Amino acid sequence: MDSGLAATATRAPAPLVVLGAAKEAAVTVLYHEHALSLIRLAHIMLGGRAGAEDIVHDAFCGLYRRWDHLADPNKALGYVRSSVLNGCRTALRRGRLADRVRSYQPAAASAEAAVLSGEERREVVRALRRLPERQREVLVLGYYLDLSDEQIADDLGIGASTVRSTRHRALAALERALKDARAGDTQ
Amino acid sequence: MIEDQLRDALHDLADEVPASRVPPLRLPYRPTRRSHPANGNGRRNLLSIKWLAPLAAAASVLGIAAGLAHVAGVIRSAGGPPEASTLAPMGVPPYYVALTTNGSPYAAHRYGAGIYATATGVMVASVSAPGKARTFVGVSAAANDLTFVAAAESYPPSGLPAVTFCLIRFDPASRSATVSNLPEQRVPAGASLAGFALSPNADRLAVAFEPHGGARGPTAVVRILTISTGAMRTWTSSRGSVAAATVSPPLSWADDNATLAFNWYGSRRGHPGGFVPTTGVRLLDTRRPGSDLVAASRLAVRLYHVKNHEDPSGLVPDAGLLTADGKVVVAAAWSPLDGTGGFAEFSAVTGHLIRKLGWGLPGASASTSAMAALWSSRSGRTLVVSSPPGHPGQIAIIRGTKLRLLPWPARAPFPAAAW
Repeated sequence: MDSGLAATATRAPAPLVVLGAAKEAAVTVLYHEHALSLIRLAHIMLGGRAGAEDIVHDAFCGLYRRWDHLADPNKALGYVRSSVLNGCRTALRRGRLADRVRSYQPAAASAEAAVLSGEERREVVRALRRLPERQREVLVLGYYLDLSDEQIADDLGIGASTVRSTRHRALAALERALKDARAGDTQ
Repeated sequence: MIEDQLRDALHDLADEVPASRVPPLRLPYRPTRRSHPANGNGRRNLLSIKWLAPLAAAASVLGIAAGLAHVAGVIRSAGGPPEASTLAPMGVPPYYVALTTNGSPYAAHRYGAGIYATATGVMVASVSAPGKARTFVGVSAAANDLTFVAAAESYPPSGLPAVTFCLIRFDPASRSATVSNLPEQRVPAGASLAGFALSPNADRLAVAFEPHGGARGPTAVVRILTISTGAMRTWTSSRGSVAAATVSPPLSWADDNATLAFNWYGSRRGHPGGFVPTTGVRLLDTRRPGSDLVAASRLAVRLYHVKNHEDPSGLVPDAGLLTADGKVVVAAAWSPLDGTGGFAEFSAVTGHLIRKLGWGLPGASASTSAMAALWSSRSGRTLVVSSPPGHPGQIAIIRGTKLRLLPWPARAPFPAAAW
């Protein structure tokens, strides 16, 4: 893991005070600081399918168009993050079944050559993809971007208590799915 | 422990994206300070608006010159191909509806809907998502080749999108299309649209979605609107979800306009990874009473080749499509034994494999996820499919041993289309 890049992903946004024509520069700076972590976020949400870059680029173009209507420019990063999640939802709706079907195929022969820890992590990702959309988003925002419950609540338009209960259910479901998958492997 | 595993797995997955994958930012509008100064409070100078009017007029003239006139939600083709209906091949409907980009590089995720001639791939009419809707996200077609439905997604400034539905009526004589909202049918914000299908007689719209109703609510909802009367009927379940897809339509109708097929993914609450034997293509007789989606339907064909749920054919089928006569389920499928794939027909009565169509080696670069049955003739004898073996990324008609490739328009995202 590239710890420098991970730090970029989790860093709190710098305060933004932008006037008039400077919005172009502000959006560009925001893009340079956060595009990679957001593309990685989209990559995770899409389960590795193509399109992460387009979704993030589109989100920043949307931010630029709506900049004058932002109630608080300091929330620009949250806005663009929400846009990225929306873009991922749309993309997944166009191809979700294929992912689900693929995720239930028997393990590939190449898995024999994989180190155990790598296979375990793939199992975690497979189980994550089977979770409902909201649960998946709460886990990814929390455990990849390390956002606080309040930040996740803002991004998803839900309450912080809902974030906590959703995470609790999601972790329980994930744990159960992993346990079952491992039990199946040993049968 | 599980949290550490999750964190490690997510960072591993994220690290698949190298820093070099960040493309340069291309903003949609770069103001020229000399002619479009900002006035310092974030609003554009009126001067820029005065410039926009003649520019817009010039653009509309160019649009007309290109053969398209925009009239209150209707785009009418002034030119176009000769009578497409005379060219429709192998009994396939002469027109289809597909999602369509507007050609702007900044609108990669915004789609209108286009009506295309099957034989030529030429767009003969198109409509935009109306009102506040940001984009169309899916399409469905009736059997009359004149009526279509598109799902439109609205994005509020914050929160989750809602999905509404629009009826599109196509007039082949004038080559124009009109769009009207179906306000009764709606997927609430925050829910996940799984799929939708317009009945063959164009009078019933079935929509499946996964609500976010919390721990005790249903996990799947199927809602059918009768368009002519406004009547709505709902089936729910908390024992799984309708498998979502656009490539393969997850819902399909028999031509009795009463039997709805849906691809079901059974699970137990709080246990999303666990399969239960209800999984597969299920048939819902909408004339019967009851509102439990699983209890009111029957399993016609097992799908998904998973442990304890083996398909007797030994194939791995994708989402299934019910033929109009209600007797056959058609699905893309492949064999895990030799890697061959194609399309398979299963009896909707016994669930057994009837025959394989267009079977072959998909090829190393072919994406099996794009291989799908998009349309079927009444008995399943003729299919319109995407990415058949040997032809990845293409649309084809398959009939017996014959395969005919169809032109695919560049502006339509592959293969979001319905015949």
